[in-house]
Order: sequence, then structure tokens, then C-alpha cells
Amino acid sequence: MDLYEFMRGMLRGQRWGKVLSSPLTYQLVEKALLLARGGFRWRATYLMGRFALTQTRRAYTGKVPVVWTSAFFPVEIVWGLGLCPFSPEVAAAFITSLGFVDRALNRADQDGYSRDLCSFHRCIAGAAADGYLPAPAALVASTHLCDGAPLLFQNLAGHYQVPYLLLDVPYQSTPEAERYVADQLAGIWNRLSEIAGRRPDPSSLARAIDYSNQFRSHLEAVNALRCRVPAPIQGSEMLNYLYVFFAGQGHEEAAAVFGCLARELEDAAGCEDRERFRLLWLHLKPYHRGELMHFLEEAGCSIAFEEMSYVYWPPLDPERPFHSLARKVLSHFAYKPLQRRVAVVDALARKYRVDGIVHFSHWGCRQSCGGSLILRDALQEKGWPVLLLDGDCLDERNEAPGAVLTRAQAFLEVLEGRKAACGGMGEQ
Amino acid sequence: MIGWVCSYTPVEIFHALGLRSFRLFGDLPPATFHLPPNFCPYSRSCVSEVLEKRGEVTGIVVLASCHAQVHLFNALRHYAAKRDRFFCHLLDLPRVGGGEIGGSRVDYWVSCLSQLIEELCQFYGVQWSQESFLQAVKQQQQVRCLLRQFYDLQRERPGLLRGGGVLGLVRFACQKDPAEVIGTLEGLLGLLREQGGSRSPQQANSLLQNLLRKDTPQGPRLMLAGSPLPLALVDLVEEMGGIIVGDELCQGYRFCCLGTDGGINSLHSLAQSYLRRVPCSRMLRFPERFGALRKLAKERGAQGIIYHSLKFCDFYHYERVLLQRELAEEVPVLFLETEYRPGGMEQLRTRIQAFLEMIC
Repeated sequence: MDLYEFMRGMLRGQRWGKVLSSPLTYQLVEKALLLARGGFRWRATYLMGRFALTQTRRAYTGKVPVVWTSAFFPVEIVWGLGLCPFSPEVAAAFITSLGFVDRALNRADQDGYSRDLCSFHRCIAGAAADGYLPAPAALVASTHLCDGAPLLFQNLAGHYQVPYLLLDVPYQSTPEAERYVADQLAGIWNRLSEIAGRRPDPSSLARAIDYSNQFRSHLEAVNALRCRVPAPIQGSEMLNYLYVFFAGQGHEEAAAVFGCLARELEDAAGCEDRERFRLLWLHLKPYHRGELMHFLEEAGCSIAFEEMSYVYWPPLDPERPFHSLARKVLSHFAYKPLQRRVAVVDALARKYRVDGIVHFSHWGCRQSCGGSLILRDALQEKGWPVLLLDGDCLDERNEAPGAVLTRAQAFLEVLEGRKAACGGMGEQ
Repeated sequence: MIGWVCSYTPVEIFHALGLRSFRLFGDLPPATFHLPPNFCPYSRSCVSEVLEKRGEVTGIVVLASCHAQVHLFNALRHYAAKRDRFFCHLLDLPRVGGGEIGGSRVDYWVSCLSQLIEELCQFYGVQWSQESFLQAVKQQQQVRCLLRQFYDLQRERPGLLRGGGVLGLVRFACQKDPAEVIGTLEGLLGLLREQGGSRSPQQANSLLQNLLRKDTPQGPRLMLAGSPLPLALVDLVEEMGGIIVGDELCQGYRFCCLGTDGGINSLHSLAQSYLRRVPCSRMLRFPERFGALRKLAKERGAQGIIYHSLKFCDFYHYERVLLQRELAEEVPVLFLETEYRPGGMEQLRTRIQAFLEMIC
């Protein structure tokens, strides 16, 4: 059973805004989740669902200050202050998976947000305007990897009349850049503690850093197990763990999710059917009810790995939290000249012995899609078959489903031909 | 010759090193094979411009101001630099929160500028000297000061100068050697004030033809704001009777203003001066930005603002929503979107006409 399928079943026919913004919803779903936990393929999925529901309920009760954080902001800072982070991008994927996205997008359209902007952010803008998201005490955005989030947060800070804190992340990874980011993180930590009326406690931050390190090492263990052929878990399943990636790092339950998954994969390795093609997935996947993921699964494609899960950062030092978080932020491979991403993708493709690489080009994403043609050319020069699939993670209106499936089908034929000719690059 | 794009590029560095530089305006059709079609049309056009002028252009300095610029850098590095010896540098640009200039931000940018200088010296075999730096700063200040005088004229004598003509002068100043620019602009100002004595009368005369309006407009006074726009759009506004009395464009007035006009004697003060200027949307300092826009519109007696955004430009599309909320009650705003090409102007004509009728 899929977590979102479970949630959809629970919430079918309800009024979306009322349902989403009520703490009671999350309490009830959490209880139902407990009863249904045996139906999930992985216990880790149940743990992630429970963690996300508990924190979302906490956010809606208003008893603890809620801090909205953009997707790549180091949330260890927020957990380290005992505050409740809320990741609106994850909420947008969640709203979409539940089938409520159209109303939020329509509201954003009415408010003047162009359809060319990222649908994650338009969905948030619409849901916020309708008053269905938990009221923040502050908004914190980082500038790396996404131009849209810092802009949306700036607009929403005016809407909610709350402080907006910005983490400006440079491209260079020099000692000066590290100092520059570390200074800002220390400033944000202090400012958030003032806003929330909490005394900053370095030992609490050190604990969050420790949990973050546990998260990292468990994720590495999961990734190592995923090298097996056939793949023990699908990339499309891993892309459902967005909450722990974007909002969980620094919390013990997020670390526990991947700790549990690593143990489960250890036992489950080799249980998948024979794979026709192994794929490396770049960027996110569609969270709406489009047919692409189902089509790929039916066609015998296995998403052996996705770049989202790649551990790109070194372990953090609890003694130097701001500097090591700065290093983490600065080491993101996709926030560098594109050769770095090419090198990482090439290495992942070899490590996971894939037959081809698929880049899902989410319509409004300038960072990932902007470089997609160069990325494709560079990877093709290295001998990899690459498919760029134009689509939209949330807004089906920005997608041409027929064209997407036709392109996917044609790509699989290319892979078939290559495999017949040389047995796939991974086996060379 | 080195190409550059963003008005935060400290051109004084190129001049101090004796390197010829020019700003890319992307006046060619957008590249289709290097960047995707649903991407900043200006950056795509800049790729075309560099690839077209490959014989002349030996390098490029791109500011990491947005993902469009970063991928412009990536495209040129991948497609231009791998075939030829080509200088490609991505220069960071720190954002300054809340109008404050934190020491670490300036220090960080100074470290970036130092690295740029080092790489330029190494690639082009040139040397840095404090004396040439001070000379370059002085010249560039003079260029900016002269350009501002045209903007003063635009305010004082509305309808005398073409909006596109003034923007054309800024273009001219961004593409030519500062000494030549100073001579021409002084000559042009002399001609405008009927004083004669131009040091380069021929060039000044030809620019003058392009600068003066041929009609006697009676329409409303307008300001231009937003992202870089096609000059055909400015011409269209004037053709409909609008009078451009100012702009706050990156390729216009904002280029002419730094945070300070005096006291630049080191990389530190140069960095500070750039970071202190009235910010663009990218710097995420909207209260300061809208304050400056409000002030400029008032000073120039603007009756309306034509706010333009390039298609797929996140910064100006988000700002547009904010602008609607913060400014539209004080001054009427018309939002227009283009793909940085003259195409589609007829569709805009109706909207501009309706806007002008509304504010008249």
C-alpha cells in the first residue's frame, strides 16, 4: 500500500481546506495509520508517515512556533531550537498527492502568479492565500538551488506579517564563502531564538547535528544496499520520502526512518522481479495522477537510483555546527558549475549500473531544467543514453501526457537496441 | 574582448587591466539548442550573441545573479570554451539583507573580485596596478555622471528625448571604451544645449538623431520598470503618445548609479559602492526597492508605470504580485510580458492604448 493512496482513501470527499488545516485530521489519520501499518511494504514508510503527521499536527495546533523553511535550508538550525519546521514544498507535493492541487493553483492564478512559475510555489501561494497552511512565526529561505522559494517567501512574509530571514549561499566553496554562510547561519539561529522567545542552547543544536549525522550515515547505508541488482527499492518510492529529506534532518525520527529502511533492505535485497532496464532518475517525479511512473513500472523499468538521495555532504561537526552546516550547504553538487553535476551523475550511473538516465524537467524549475540540454549533451558525450522528459511535478495542465509517454516509449526502444547490441553500459 | 551581462559587474576592473569589454544585450534570436525554450529569453539570446561574435569575444564574466545567468555561463563554458581558448568566469554576487551592508558580505565579495582579477591577469597576461584602477574608477564615474545628465534632461524637458534613445546611450556607454564614451556624451550634451564644441561631432550627431523625438507628444508621463525589455516596446509606448520620463532598468538608469560617487579607492570601497546601490529584484530587498521606485516616480512626475517582465523570469514575476499589492494604489501600473523580441508587439498595442486612456 502506498502512503498517499492510504491518505487519499481517508480524506476522499472531504472539503480540502478544512480537512488540511485541522489538527484533528492529522490525529485521526495518525491513528488510522497505526492500524494500517502492516499494509505498507516498508515499515520505514509507516515511520515517515507517522513522523510527518505528528509534526504537521504540531504545526497546526499553534502551540509551538512554526518556521517555514525552503527545500534546501539546513533545518538542523530549526530543530536545534526546539521549533517546528514546516516545509511548504513538501506540503505542496502532499496536497497534490491527495488530489487537492487544482484549487490551490487556481487561487494562485487569480492572485497574479504566472503559470510559468514553479507549481510547487504556486500551490503554496494559493493554499496560503486561502488560509489553509499553518501560520508561521518566521519564514526562512536559502538562495541555493531555487530562485523561486526566496521570492515566494518574501511575498508571503508580507501576507503573514512575520519576519523573513534569508540565507544567501554563494556558488564558490572557498574558506571565505564558508565563513560568509556560517556567519549568516549563526545570525539566523540567534534571530529565530529571539522570535520564538527561546534561549539558544548550543547543546540542543549539537544534538540536532548528531541526529543529522545519523540520518546521513543511515542514508549512505541505504544507498549502498541499492547497488544490488535487481534494485531492492524503487526510486519512485524513495521520492516519496521528501519530508525527511527536506524537513527531517536534525530530528531523531528522520534518522530512524532510514535506519529502519537500511535494515529492511538488507533482508529484502533481491526480492524484485527481473529488471528490463535500470534507470537513473534526475530531479523529482510527478506527484499528480499522471501515468508516467505507472507506465515505466509496467514496461519493466527499475529506477535504480535518483540523484535526490545522493549523499553529497561530509559528516557534520557538532563542535562547529555553523561552519559544518555551511560546508554542507556549499557542497551541493547541483549548485556549482554544471560539470560538477555531470561528474556526479556519471559516477552514480556507473555505480548503480544503469542502462539510461532520465531527467524529469519540471516546468518551472530554472535550476534543474535550465541546464538540462547541456547536461544531456555532456552525458551523451560520455556514452549515456539520456531522456529529457518535459513535465510538471504538480500541475498536470503544464504537461502533455501523450507526448511524455511517446518519448518514454521511444527511449525504451533505444535502450532495448543498445542492450541487444552491447549488453548495456553498466555491464561493459 | 570580454563580454559581461549584469549591471553589478564591476567594469572598472576590466578597464583597470586595460582589457576591452562590452555588455551583452542579446540582440540576436535566442539560442535553441543550448538552453531550453522555457527559459530566460535574454540569456538564450546572449548565448547566440557570444557564439555569433566568437571571433571577437575572447571571454565572458557572468554574475551568479540568477539561474538564468548561471546557465548562460554553463552553456558558454560547454559550447564555446571547449573548442577555443575562452575565458569563462562565474562571479558571485552577495545579497545584502535589510538594507544593511554586513562586513562579511563586502569582505566575501572582495575575495571574489580578487580571484577574478587574478584569473584575468593569468589568462590575458596583464597586470593590476592601483594607479590604473583609480584612473578607471574616475573615468567610469564620469561616464555614469554624464549619462545621468541625459536622465535629468528627460525629467526636465519631457518629450524632448526618446526613451529608447536614452536607453541606447546607456548601451553605447556599456559597449565602448570609456574615453570615447566621455568624448561623445560631452559632445552630445553640448549639441543638446546648443553649445557646440563636440570632441567627436560626427558620432555625437548621429546619436543625436536617434535621441530626439520627432513628434510633439501630448500623452501621459510614464516610467519603465522591471526586467530588460526590447527597445521596440519603448518605441511602441511612445508611438501611442506616451512620454517616457525615466526608468529603473538594469540596462538603463540603474547602471548609471552606484551607492556612492566618491571615495572609491580600493576594491573594498568599490564592492561597497556596488552593493549599496538601489537594488534590483534579485537582491530581495523589496521595501528599499519600492521606496526608490516610488521616489523616482514622484520626482519625475510619472502618471503611470509600465512594468515589464521577461517570460520565465522568476524575479520580476514574483515582484509583480508584490508590486500590485504595495504600489498599484499609489500609481497605476501596467504589467507586460515579452520574450525580449520585437514580436508580439501588436498584441501589446491594445493593452498599452487602454492603459494610456485610463491614466490620461
